[in-house]
Amino acid sequence: MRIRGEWLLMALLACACSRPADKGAPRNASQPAPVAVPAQTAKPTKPSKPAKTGQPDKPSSATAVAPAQPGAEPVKEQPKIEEVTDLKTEEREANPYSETVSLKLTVTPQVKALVMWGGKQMARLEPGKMDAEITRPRGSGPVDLEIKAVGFLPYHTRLHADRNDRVAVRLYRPEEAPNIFGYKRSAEAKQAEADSEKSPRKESSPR
Amino acid sequence: MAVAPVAKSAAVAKPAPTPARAPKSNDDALPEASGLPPERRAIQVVDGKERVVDANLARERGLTIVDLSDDFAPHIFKDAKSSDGVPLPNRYRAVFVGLANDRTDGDGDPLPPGERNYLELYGVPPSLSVMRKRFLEDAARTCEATVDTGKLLAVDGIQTWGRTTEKKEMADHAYRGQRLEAAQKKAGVVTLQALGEKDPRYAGEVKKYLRTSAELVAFAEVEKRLVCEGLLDASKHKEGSYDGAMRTAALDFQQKNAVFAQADLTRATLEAMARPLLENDFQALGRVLTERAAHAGGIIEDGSAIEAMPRARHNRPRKQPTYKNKDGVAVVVPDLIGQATTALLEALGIASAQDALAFFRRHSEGDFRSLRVAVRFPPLPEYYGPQMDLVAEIDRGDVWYEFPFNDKGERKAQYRDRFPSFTLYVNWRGEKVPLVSWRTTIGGWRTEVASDGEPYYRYKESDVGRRVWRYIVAAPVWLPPTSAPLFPMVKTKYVAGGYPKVVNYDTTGPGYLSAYGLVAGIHEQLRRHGENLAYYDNGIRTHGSFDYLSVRGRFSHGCHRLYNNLAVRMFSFVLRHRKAKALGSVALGFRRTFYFEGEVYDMRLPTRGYYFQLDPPLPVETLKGRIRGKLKQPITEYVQKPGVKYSSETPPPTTGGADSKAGGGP
Repeated sequence: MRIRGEWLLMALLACACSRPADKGAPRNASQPAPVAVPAQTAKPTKPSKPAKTGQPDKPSSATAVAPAQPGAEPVKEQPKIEEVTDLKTEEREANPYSETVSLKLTVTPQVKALVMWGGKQMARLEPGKMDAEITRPRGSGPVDLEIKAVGFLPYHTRLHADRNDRVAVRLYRPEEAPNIFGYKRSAEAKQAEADSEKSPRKESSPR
Repeated sequence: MAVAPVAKSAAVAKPAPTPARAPKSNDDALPEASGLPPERRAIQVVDGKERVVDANLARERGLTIVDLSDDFAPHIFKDAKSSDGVPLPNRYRAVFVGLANDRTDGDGDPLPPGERNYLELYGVPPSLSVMRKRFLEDAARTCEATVDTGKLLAVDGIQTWGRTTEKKEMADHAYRGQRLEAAQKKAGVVTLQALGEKDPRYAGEVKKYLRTSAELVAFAEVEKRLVCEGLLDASKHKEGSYDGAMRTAALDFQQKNAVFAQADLTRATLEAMARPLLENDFQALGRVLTERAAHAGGIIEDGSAIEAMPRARHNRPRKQPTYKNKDGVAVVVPDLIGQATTALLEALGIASAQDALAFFRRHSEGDFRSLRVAVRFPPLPEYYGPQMDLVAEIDRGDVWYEFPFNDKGERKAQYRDRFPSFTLYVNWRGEKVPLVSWRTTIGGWRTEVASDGEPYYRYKESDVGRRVWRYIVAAPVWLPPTSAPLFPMVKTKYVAGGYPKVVNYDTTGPGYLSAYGLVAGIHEQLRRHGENLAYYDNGIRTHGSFDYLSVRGRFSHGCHRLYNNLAVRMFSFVLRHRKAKALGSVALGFRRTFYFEGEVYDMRLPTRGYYFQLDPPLPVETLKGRIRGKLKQPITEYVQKPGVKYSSETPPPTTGGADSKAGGGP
């Protein structure tokens, strides 16, 4: 099937050359199908101009590399499709169908902290024992945790129960808040809310 | 007959396909079998009686086994294996099944007691057990007769307002009534209509008064119907008021019955409310079975392909799309899904709501753990095969590049006669044969927060030209750009007996509310990269969408949105009829720690979604469409929004990125 893929690719290139890419004739079912040009005759040309979107001219991941077609005449200047891989499949699990998964939380700095899972207390942490681990049925939904410690901002994180998961959390003191992403906007939003409460509220139609 | 949404109309709400005739004497009847393991059991209705038959034998006879079990998930959510035989579990499958069975929410957490998912319009049809429960509950209700459907249908819709406006409108209405009554007495006429006819000064007011009065009467019937159906808790609702409880109930009703509206009491909503409860359930069952039939048969033709044919002049009907058979004779592209659904209903002996009720009465909930049915589906056209020469095409329709506001900040009319459409073709015997043609979206003017932190309008172009789908992603994840507002990223959620604040993963996914919907195909372009070629992803996708109303005429950020169920159907079809390999869950490892209202939140997205790679890639072409107006090229800069005060007169330069193209993104 690789050979077929090569043929299709070359035909695609040939079509791109033979017809302006952006020619926008109205869609018409009686329009002739694109003519498939044999790979041997297809010459690579400059592809159509990329859309001006500000997207950097960086190739996306690619795994297919065009191999020479067995038995075909050698094609001059046949361009290769570059292999650029940024797709990385997840690390495989020893048993992806195990009944349970293990979820681990590690918190720094070493302070007394309470780990809440909704209305339940999941763990009490203290210096020297800053890890918490629970076993959950696989696929039983995420575990949303809140870590509370005196002198630190409440911290919300999530452990995913669809495979073994672990997360390390660093708690922030209130004075560190301006360095956290979103601090400025959160303050602005609060101000805007306060302003809107002062002014009479205009109710709009639910439509 | 297409039961799924097709172009133009809200065809999701079409009536269920009704078998054209009563079950005929069954040539496909198989001998009754006993002692078979569940995976080999299927049912057949022969001479009105249901029997268990051997599924393997049914397949040998050319019958299709349709999975009616509660464990059903579309093909694209099935577990796969890598080329070296290692299992690649598709994790969203469990969530999909949980949602369909009203067991879990979109995260996979247990549903709070008493809550139900009405997610058909979001691409998750209810399971057969859920349908069974609906039928049995609705059959037991005796309140239906108290609803006066005549009053419901006496109006074209019911105007609704927020609390303050509603109070004012109701006071105006009462005052108008008093004034007209006085005028009626003074004029010495018997009715208000007579007053309007006699004195044209009152004609407009009389008309308005009578319309509002009729709407109020209809509103009372709506309340009765929603209470009767168990959707409105009367104790939480103030009679006569369109309050929060009423709005939620109306939306639940619409989503339960696939009515395209968002809590507005539209004519379609009133018509659905005027139908008997079981009739609505029967229609819903038809839609559920349509999806099961489509996935069981690996078919896609739903009768919508005619939309891809050129418009005929003088109001003549369009020509039917055809393909050439082996004798060179043109054969009409069939509505395979409609025919298969009809065959399925016939095989189950269901021709009416009462038949469906009988079917559910004779099956216990436990039966739906493994229930399957053997059906003779219509023969597949000759162009079917394991490697179909499929081509996707997106026509942008009428495109306006001009800024949609005038100097005074008023919206300009930008009429579109041709809306964007998505068509899947098969190249067959020298012809491009349309299989389906659905409405989709293209980019347009959208609000974007620029680098100066202020909101501007920006034209989000849908790329034109030839591309390919190399990757199809089930349960894709969308990354919110850093410019996205923070407040939608936190929500309160029921978690283990409490209601803490949590990060809102709805828009990111994976899930039916993801900006990319339940499935996406990535548009990639082959471009020169030095001496070689490489694929480029400009952020455009064809994807499902939770924003089902947007597919009917609004704009995206450049992506091509489809109804979630159609996107799932179409990409499942592509995977079954093209060579594809499952890559499994692709790692992302995204983490964003952010501050919001005095607390710190961690957004963690471990995967991008479940990837499939098509080999060879599938060609996709986006046609330029018809450029309307004077401007023939899009404006690439930010444009100030009318009515917004900006700190600087010049907008900052635009930036781009694949993430900013997301279909339903903030």
